[in-house]
Amino acid sequence: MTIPEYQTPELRKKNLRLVWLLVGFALFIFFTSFPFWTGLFHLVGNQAAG
Amino acid sequence: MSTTTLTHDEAHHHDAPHGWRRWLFSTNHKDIGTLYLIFALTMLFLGGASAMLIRLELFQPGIQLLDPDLYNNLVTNHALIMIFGAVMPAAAGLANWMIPLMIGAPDMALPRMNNLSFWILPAAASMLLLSFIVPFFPGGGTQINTGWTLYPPLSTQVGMSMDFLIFAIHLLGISSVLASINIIVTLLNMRAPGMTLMKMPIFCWSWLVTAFLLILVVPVLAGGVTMLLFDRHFGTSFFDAAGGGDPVLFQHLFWFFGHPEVYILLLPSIGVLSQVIPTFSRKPLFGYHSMVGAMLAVATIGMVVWAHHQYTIGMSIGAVTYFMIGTIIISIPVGLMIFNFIATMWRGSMTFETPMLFAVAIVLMFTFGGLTGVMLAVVPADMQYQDSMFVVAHFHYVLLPGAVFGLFAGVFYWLPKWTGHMYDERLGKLFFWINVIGFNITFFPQHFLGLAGMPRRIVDYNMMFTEFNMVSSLGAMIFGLSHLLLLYIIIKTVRGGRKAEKRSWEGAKGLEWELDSPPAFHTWTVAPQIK
Amino acid sequence: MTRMTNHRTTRNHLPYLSPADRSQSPLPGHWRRLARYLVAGIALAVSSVAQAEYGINFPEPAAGVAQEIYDIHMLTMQITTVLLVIVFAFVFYSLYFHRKSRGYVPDQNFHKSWFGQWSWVIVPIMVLGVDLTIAGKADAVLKKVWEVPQDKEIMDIKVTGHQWWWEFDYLDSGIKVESRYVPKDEAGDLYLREVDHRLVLPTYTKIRFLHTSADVLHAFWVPELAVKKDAIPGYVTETWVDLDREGVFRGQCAELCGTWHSRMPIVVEAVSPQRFAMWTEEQQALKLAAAAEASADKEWGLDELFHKGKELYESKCAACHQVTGMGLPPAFPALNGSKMATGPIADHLHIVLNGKQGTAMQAWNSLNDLEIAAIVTYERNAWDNNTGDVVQPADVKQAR
Repeated sequence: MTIPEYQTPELRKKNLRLVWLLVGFALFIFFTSFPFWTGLFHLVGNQAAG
Repeated sequence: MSTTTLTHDEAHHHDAPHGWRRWLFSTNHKDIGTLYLIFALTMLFLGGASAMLIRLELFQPGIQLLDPDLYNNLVTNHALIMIFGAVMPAAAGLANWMIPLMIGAPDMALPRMNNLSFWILPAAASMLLLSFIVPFFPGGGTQINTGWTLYPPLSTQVGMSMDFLIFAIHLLGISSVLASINIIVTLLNMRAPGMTLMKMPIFCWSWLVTAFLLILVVPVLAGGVTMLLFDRHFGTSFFDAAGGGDPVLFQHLFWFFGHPEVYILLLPSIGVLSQVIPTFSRKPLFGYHSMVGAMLAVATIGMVVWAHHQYTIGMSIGAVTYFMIGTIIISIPVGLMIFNFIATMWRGSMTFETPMLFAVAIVLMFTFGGLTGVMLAVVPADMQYQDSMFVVAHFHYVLLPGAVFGLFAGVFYWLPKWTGHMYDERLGKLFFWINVIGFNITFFPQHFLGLAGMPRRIVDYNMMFTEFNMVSSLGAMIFGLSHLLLLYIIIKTVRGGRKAEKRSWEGAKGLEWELDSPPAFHTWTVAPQIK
Repeated sequence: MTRMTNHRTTRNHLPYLSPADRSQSPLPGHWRRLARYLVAGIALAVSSVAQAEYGINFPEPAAGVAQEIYDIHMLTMQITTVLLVIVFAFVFYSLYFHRKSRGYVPDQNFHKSWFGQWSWVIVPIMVLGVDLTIAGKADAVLKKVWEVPQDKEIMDIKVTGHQWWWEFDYLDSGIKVESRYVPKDEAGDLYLREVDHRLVLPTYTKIRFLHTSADVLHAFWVPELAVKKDAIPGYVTETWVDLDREGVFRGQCAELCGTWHSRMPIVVEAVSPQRFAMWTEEQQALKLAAAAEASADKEWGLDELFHKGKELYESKCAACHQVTGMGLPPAFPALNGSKMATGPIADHLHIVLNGKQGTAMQAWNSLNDLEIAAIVTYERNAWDNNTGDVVQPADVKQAR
C-alpha cells in the first residue's frame, strides 16, 4: 500500500499515538469488567449455558 | 436546480476570531454546529459508559457490581444523557452546520441566540452530573432511581438529586426551544431567492417539522417537572391522591411531551437519510411531496397518541381504543417514508460507502423496530409487553437505527465537507460492521427476555433469564467498545486525509456541494439564484 | 465512470443473469442446503411449544383472557413477520441487482413509470388494510379482556402493592395474605420467583382483581394470567381472570417502585374450587386463632415476645433494615444502636405505627397489637440493643 500524499510523518505519529491511547482504554475497560470475566468462566465452566 | 455562486474568503477582510473567544462568543453557525457535535460525542460516551455498567451488572444473575438504587440511577441517567445530551444536540449540530449551507443563507437568523442555545448545554450537563455525584456525599440523599420517566410518587421521595435534575431539564428545554425558534425563522425567511418551500431539501423540512414539535411539547415537560418540584417542596399535591391529586396526571404531562419527543429524535435522521440515499443511489429522492406530507402526518398524529405508553393505568375502554387506533394508524405515514427510501434505491445505481451502509441498515432495522411497535400498539397484547424487556428491545431498535445511526450516516456523509478531508473508508466500513453486528447481538435477545417474562429496570433476575442476558451483555461489550473506533476515525479525519472535493460524493446534489470543502468562515454572503 | 443515460442499456431489462452466466448462479449447492435448514429451523422456532420451552415466547396461558391475548399476539407477530420478509426481500433484491459495480445504470425516470406514479397510493392503502385487520381483531379481544363481567358470583380480590411486597385481601372471606420474597439460600433456583405465602386461587371461577398501592406505583404481572394493570396509590384499577388450569404461576412487579422493584415476586397457585374451599376454611381458622391470641389478657414475657418478634421482624422488616439491624443507610437507617430503638418507647411505637412521611418507612398499623408489641420488643433487645424493655399489646393499643 503506497503512502497517501497527505500523510506526513508527524501526522502519522500523532495518529498512532491516538490509536495506542484508544486501544489501551478499550483494553482497560475490557480487563476491569470483572463481571464479564466471572460470567465467561461461569459460561465455560458450567456448559449448561452457552 | 442550477445555481450561481460567489464564494470568497472573507477572513482577511475583518478580524476573524481566534482562541477561546472564537468558541465562547461564536455567532458562526459552522462553529456552533461543531460545538454541538463535540458536546454530543462526549455525552455519547458518558451515556454509553452507564449502559455498559448496566449490562455488566446484568451479565449474570445476582448483584455483583451496583447496589439497586445506583443501578436504577444509571438506567435513568443512560436515557437522559443519550436523549438530551447526545441525540438532540447532535441533530442540532447537523442543523446548525447544514441548514444555512443548504438554503443559501449566510448564517442562522439569530446568531447570538444560537450561541446561547449551545452554551446552556454544558451548564445543563453539569447539573445532571451533580445530580449523580451529590448522593455519594453525606446528606446527599438517595439516587434518582425512578427511570427517565420520573413517575411520582417515587420521584417525590427521591433526595435532592431530583431537584438538580429538574433544573437541568429546564435548561435543556430552554436550549431546545430557542434553537427551534432560530431554525424556524431561518427556514421560513432566509431561503435563497427561487427556493420555494417545495424545493427545500428534505433535511431542512425534517428540521422545520421537528422545531415546531419541540416548541409545542417542551413547555409541557417543563410544566410537569415544575409541578413535581412544587409537590416535593412547596406543599402542593398535584400528584398525591391524599391531597386530591393523581399520580397519573404526571404521566399524561410527561408522555404528551414524551411521544412527540421520539419523533423529534427520529425526524432529523430521516432527513439525513433523504439526503444520503439519493446520493448513493444516483437517483433523486422518490416522492418528495409525499415525504413532506408523511412527516407532517407523523408529527400531527404523533401529538395525539401519547397514552399508548400508559395502556395499563386503568383508562376506560373508549379511551384506550382511541389511542390504540391512533397508534396503529401512524404506521401508514412512517411506512410511506420507508417506502420512499426503498423506491429511491430501486433501479438506482448504488455504491456502499459508509453513509450508505448505515442508511441501508437503518431501513432494514428500523422497519423491524417499527413492526414490533405495531405489536405493542395492540392493547390486550400490551398487557403482557408493558414494562418488560420487549419494550426495551423495541425502542432500541427504533431509536438506535432511527436516530443514532442516522446521525452517524450524517456525520460520515458531511465530514468531508466540514473538514476538507475524506475519512478513511476502510475504517468507516469496519466501524459499521462491528457496530451493527454488536447492536443486533445486544438487543435482539431482549425481545425473547420480555416475552418470557423478564421485567425492565431490574438489577437482578431469576436464573431462567441467564442465557439471553449473557448474550446481550457480550454484544454490549462489542457494541460499546466499537465507538472508540468512531472517535478515532473522526479525530483522524479532522487532522488530515485525502483532499475532499467540493462535490465530495459522485451523486451528491444540493447547494452545500457547491461550496469549498471545508467552507469559508462566511459562506453565501451573496445569495445564489435558484432556478 | 458509468455513462449516465436515460434510455435502457443492455443489462437493465434482464433482472436475472443471462443463461451464459448460469455458472455464476446466485444459489450454488451448499447455499441451497443452507436455505433448506434455515426454513426448517424457522418453522421449528415458530412452533409455539418450542418457543415456550426455550423461553422465547409467552408461557402457556392459564386463563381464558390469557388465551385471547396469546392468540392476538401470535396473529400480529405472524402478520408483522410476513411484512418484514416482504420488505427485506425487496431491499435485498435491490441491493444485489441495482448496483453500480454490476454496471446498473440508474433509471432517472422511475418516478414516471406506472409503478412510480401509483405505488405511493397503493402502498399506504395496503398498509391501511393490514392495520384495519389488526385493529379489528384487537378490538374484539379488547372488549373481552378489558371490562370485568357483571356476574354476581364474581370473586373479588384486592391486590395492594407495597414497597416491596404484595398484600392480597380476599374480600369475600376476610382472609389476608402477605406475600414476600424468599431469600436466596432458601429459594435456590427459584430465587426472585418464590414467595412465603402464595396467592391461592380457584379454577373455573371468575375472579376480579382490584389493584391499589400503599405507597408508590406498582404493577401486578403474572404472564400466565396475562392481564396487567398498574397499582396506583389512592386509586383502584381492576382486571379479571378465569383460570382454566391448575398449577403454579410465577410473576413479578412490573412498574419501577424503588430499590427492590426486582425483588417483589408473585406466585399464584391455581387449585380446584373444592381444594380452594378447604384452603379458605383453614385460613379463616388460623385467623381466628391469631386474633384470640393477640387479644388475650395476658402479660407477655420478654423471651416470648423476643422470639415472636424475631420471626416477624425477619419476615417484614429485614428487607430494609436487614437481619443484622444495620440497615442500608441513608435510605434505610440502622436499628442497631439507633436512638429510636434505645430511646423513648413512645417515639419507637409512633414511627412503627405511623411510618415516616417522605421516606420508604410505611405505617404498620395494619398489624395487630401483639405483632407490633413483639416487633418493637425484639428491636429494643436484639443485636447490641439491651434496653430490657418489654412492650405489651395493651401498650400498643393505647398508642394507636
